Amino acid sequence: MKEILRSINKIPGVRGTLLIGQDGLLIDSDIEDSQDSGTMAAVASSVNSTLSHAIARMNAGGKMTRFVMNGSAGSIVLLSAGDAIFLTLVRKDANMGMVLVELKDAAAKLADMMDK
Amino acid sequence: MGFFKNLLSGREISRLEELIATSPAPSLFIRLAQLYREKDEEDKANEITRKGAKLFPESDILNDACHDLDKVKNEADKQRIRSRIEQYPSPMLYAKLAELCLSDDLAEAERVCNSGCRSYPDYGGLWTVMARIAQMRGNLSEAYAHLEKATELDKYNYNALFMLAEVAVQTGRKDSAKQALEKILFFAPDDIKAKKWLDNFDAKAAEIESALAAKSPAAKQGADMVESGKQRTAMLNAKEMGLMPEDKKGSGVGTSLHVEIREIRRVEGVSGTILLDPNGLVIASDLPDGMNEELTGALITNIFRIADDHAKNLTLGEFEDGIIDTETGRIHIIRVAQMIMAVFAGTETKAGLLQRAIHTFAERVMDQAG
Repeated sequence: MKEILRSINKIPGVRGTLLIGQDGLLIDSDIEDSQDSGTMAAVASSVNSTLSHAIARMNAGGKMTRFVMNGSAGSIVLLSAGDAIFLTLVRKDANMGMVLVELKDAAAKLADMMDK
Repeated sequence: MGFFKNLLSGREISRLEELIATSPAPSLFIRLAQLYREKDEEDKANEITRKGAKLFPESDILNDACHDLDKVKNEADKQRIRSRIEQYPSPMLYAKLAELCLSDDLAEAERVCNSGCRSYPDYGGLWTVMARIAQMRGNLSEAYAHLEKATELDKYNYNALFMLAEVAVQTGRKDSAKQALEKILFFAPDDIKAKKWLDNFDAKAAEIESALAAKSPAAKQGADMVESGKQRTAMLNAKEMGLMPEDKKGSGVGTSLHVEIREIRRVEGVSGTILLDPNGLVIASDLPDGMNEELTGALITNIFRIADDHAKNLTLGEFEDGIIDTETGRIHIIRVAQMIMAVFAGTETKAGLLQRAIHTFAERVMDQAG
């Protein structure tokens, strides 16, 4: 699992990755020390849960599979990885298309691992 | 006892729904709505009533029921917008409130418009509503002046340009009418209505003039009835007499936004768009059938607020936009001026193309908002 997270971190523009349980607790992370990964995990879980409920109520195309949130200082990508949430922090100048392609594969691998 | 009652009512509902699917009739809709109301499912009952009225426009009972529903909703909307104006005044809220008042209180609509125009004299939407008020009162010269101002301030105001063309013909300014139609075709070259009108301009102009000549005494009567408090009847009369455009809903205020929003549909795969104020009130929408405008607005606002609140905790700085992918679609949420916009699209939609369309829209809206 750590290997997958590390491989994602090698993509230019990626700042860190977290794997979070649906309860908001951190499963694993590979992120700069200065970041409070515990708080980020809890916040990401809360965002994910709000979004999932809203999507279900809106009847807007089944379950949520990915959320890309762009801010003035960078972006985050939330992906479903089985029962877990896979969060990636991305710098503003990153090639988002490339990052998303790599993340899709990584999320599928993580989902397999989570199922086992 | 309650159990058996529920069971019987459930059976009757199923039977009525089957009957409506095969051979609909007004009485079936009325009974079905009644049963849902007895079950305290007010929303469903209202939905059935509206569906019935749409299917049977000649049914007085369904139409009256629908009118009552609209009236209650209208009052609630007015109250909500009034309190929003107190907290966060904006020209669009004034225009929306005035437009809601048009259907039952012309004097109040005028008062709201005047106070909006005093604070925001450069907002074209308010002048469009002023023109509609003047038109409903039969004061065509005043309507023309307001429409000129509205289209000068907001060159993309599609409905104001159509209204201007019509009022220009009614006041003998045929060249201005042609110019207004040409302006529409300049930014919407595929607009069939404007094309047809321009191709057969003389015939259409003659039609408008003769309709006005034949119906002007009745128009005055209609205006008098508005003043005397019989607003709804008067509006219906005026509509029947051809003095008001058939589709008043959504015209005038924010119509340029409606036009701009529809432009986004040109991107392949886009199924709908909604524009909201920061409190979740709908400003303009172009949602597909079956999507509840108010619920969607509330949920999108909720998502936006959560993302906005947590962007800093997630070290993203200020929240700019978000893209949610689902199993079969995509929702793009973005801040536009002081509004929230959400675009619903299929997974096949090219993300870059959609983003460009959204940014073009945002720029136009910001230009209009100054």
